[in-house]
Amino acid sequence: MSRRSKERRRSDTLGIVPEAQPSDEPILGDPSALEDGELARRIATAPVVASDAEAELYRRFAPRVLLYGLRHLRERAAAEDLAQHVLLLVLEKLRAGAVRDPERIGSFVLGTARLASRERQRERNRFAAAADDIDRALGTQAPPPLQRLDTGALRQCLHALPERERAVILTSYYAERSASEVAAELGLSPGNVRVIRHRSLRELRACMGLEGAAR
Amino acid sequence: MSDPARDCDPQVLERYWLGELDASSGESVEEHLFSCAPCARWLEELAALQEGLGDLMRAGAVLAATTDAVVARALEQGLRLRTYRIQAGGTVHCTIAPEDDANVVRLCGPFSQSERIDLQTVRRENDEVVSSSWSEDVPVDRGKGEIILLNPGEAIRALPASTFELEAVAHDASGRKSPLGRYRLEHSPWAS
Repeated sequence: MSRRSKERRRSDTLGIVPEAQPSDEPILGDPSALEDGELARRIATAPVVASDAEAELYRRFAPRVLLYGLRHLRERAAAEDLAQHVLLLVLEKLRAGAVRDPERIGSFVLGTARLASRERQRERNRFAAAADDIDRALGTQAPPPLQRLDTGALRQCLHALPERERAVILTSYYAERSASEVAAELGLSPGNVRVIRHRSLRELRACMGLEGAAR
Repeated sequence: MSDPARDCDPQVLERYWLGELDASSGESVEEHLFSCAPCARWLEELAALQEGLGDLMRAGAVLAATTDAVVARALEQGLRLRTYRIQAGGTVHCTIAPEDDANVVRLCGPFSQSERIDLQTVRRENDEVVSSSWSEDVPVDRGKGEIILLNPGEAIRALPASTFELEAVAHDASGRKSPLGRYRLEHSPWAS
């Protein structure tokens, strides 16, 4: 890449996020087949905005930031804003060549999420504009980072659980109570609640056809 | 430092999600999640399940013997719950309003010492039995000493005038059964 084109690209990231442009990067294969580090390197070294690679990075990491946001902010809208904001910052840093070690892009995204989450708790609504910005950065409407389930099917699967398991699942995941709190309500031990919770979650996931690969 | 062998354990991910890990273990799980697509995917599905449960509850679509914590959460979320509390041997007259999301029936009785309690429900119309079912090993709210039944508003609204007879039965370790209480609900459709 010529020094001038790199400087032009960097200058674009200093102000408003640039409109995505058609990529003239050489055909390097499907970005979805790349490891995280290779994907980040491709974005960092592309002569112009690498739209496909950026969309793939967004697809991989936006859900993880959303989960981080749900876990720490406990509010869907805030978590979505956080995900958009963090991915926008990460893309800007990558484009500007400001990510020192693209191989550790996961840690970089997490670190950015942690910082942004703390900022967000100090300054609510700061990220409200991020959704428009990320759409502009990707040149398309960003997909929702978290799937929604068929509630009719979920209702059937929930009602197929034995009574005690249903109570543990609802108290844990709807009322958001820890194993110790569920145990106190139902007169069980916390260990017993964890076993019931794990077993009933596995049954619910199987019934819903969710096949995530954690063992 | 992330430990994939430990952090890919679904039970660890469950504990992380419910805030049961200490700060250091939680950060270790987060480090792992940002470098492990299968675990991130697994947790995405858990988050989607949790959101789906919230949707079902907000729609008043859940039928369950439940806990006081679930009822409290529903009230916090602004659900309209019509509640009836019945002592053993008692009868209540009940209905459900068009704007109610669900009804909650609290059965009070000597439940705290029983290891397992089954609940029989018989519904009658004009003294004829139209349905009968057993719920096995129903959860008891130990703090309140109650069996808390959550019933979907739509399902109750669809019912004609009916009588519900419920009987709680204890099972001891040897399998012997003993009655704990009978309850009667006289349901009338909402009169507008």
